[in-house]
Amino acid sequence: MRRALLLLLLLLTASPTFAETGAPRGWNIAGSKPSDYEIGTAAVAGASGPQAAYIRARPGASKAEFVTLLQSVVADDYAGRRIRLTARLKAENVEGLQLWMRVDDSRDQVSLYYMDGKAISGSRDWREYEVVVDVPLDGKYLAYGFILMGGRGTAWADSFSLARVARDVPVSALRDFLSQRRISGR
Amino acid sequence: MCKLAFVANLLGLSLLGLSMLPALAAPVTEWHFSQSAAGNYEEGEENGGAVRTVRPVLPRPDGYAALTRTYPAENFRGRRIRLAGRLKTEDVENIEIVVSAVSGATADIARLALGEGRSPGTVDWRGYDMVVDIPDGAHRLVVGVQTSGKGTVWVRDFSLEVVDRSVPVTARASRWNMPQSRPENTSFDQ
Repeated sequence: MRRALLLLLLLLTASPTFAETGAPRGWNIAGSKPSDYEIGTAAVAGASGPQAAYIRARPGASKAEFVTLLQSVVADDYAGRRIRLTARLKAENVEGLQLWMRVDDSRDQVSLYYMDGKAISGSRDWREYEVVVDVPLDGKYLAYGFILMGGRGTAWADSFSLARVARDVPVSALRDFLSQRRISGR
Repeated sequence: MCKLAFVANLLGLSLLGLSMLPALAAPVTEWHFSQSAAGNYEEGEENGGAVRTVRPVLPRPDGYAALTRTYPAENFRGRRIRLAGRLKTEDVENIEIVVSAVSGATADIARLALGEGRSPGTVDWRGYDMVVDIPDGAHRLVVGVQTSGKGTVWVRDFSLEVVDRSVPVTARASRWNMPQSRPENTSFDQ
């Protein structure tokens, strides 16, 4: 079930395997065929600051390909805690935009979480979305980002934030929307 | 990387110090097996360990499996290297040969995916090689193969050598940010 993003995101481990350049500072690009998408930062109405990040499907992009902009951090500050990732997203004519988060533990076991069954399609103005995860006590790395699938439209993202939450906040679903395929850098 | 691999690398260090430029055997006997989700793949060996194998245990394996070796980068940094070896595949969906030069917060990763954009499937023993420039700042070099999806992979006769600048580069590395201590540039304004 989790194969595609497992593959996609294995890069974040201590010996990453796929790579990308041209991402905003502190961020990485990964995907099944990143060259089907343009990724960058630009000024856009409604952003919290001067700029936001975007992923834009190029003309002729395949519906089957996807790409993500992601950041990874060591889990020290979050081990044993329930944490919430929030970010603001804006969609222009997309098919399948998601916020996701990955947790790696000390045995290199990986868990992937998404917005609960609410992949964004169509056009939506800026709104905050979230993913809630339990980080195990032996959590090693966290990774998070936004992923655009479906080969069309533009996804914007801004204001990523990680914060500890109380145990009564429900944890997001572990799931995968994708079938396995080759993952590669541009 | 596991501790064993690290110890093996320390042992390899003295060898590296002695050898100026000749090809350095990168015997697959010493490569370290890993997988992203336990119980999906298994490793094996043939010919007394001269051939290493990786095969899925499950019909639809999760994640990936890798055979890698890590070297201190001091004899390779700022130089052009060639990684060469022989592979055999059976019904393989994805496999690539990887050279990753780790420099603190970043890794420069060059990849050779077999199959030219498609699944390589079944291919008998064949030699492959990659020529890559290693950045000046590299402190660790990870080389190996990584497979995902179905199929069995056989690996043998790998070597790593410094080559002259006249040898053309075959794979351009791209840069990966290693995990940071905390989130940064979260609003993309930097």
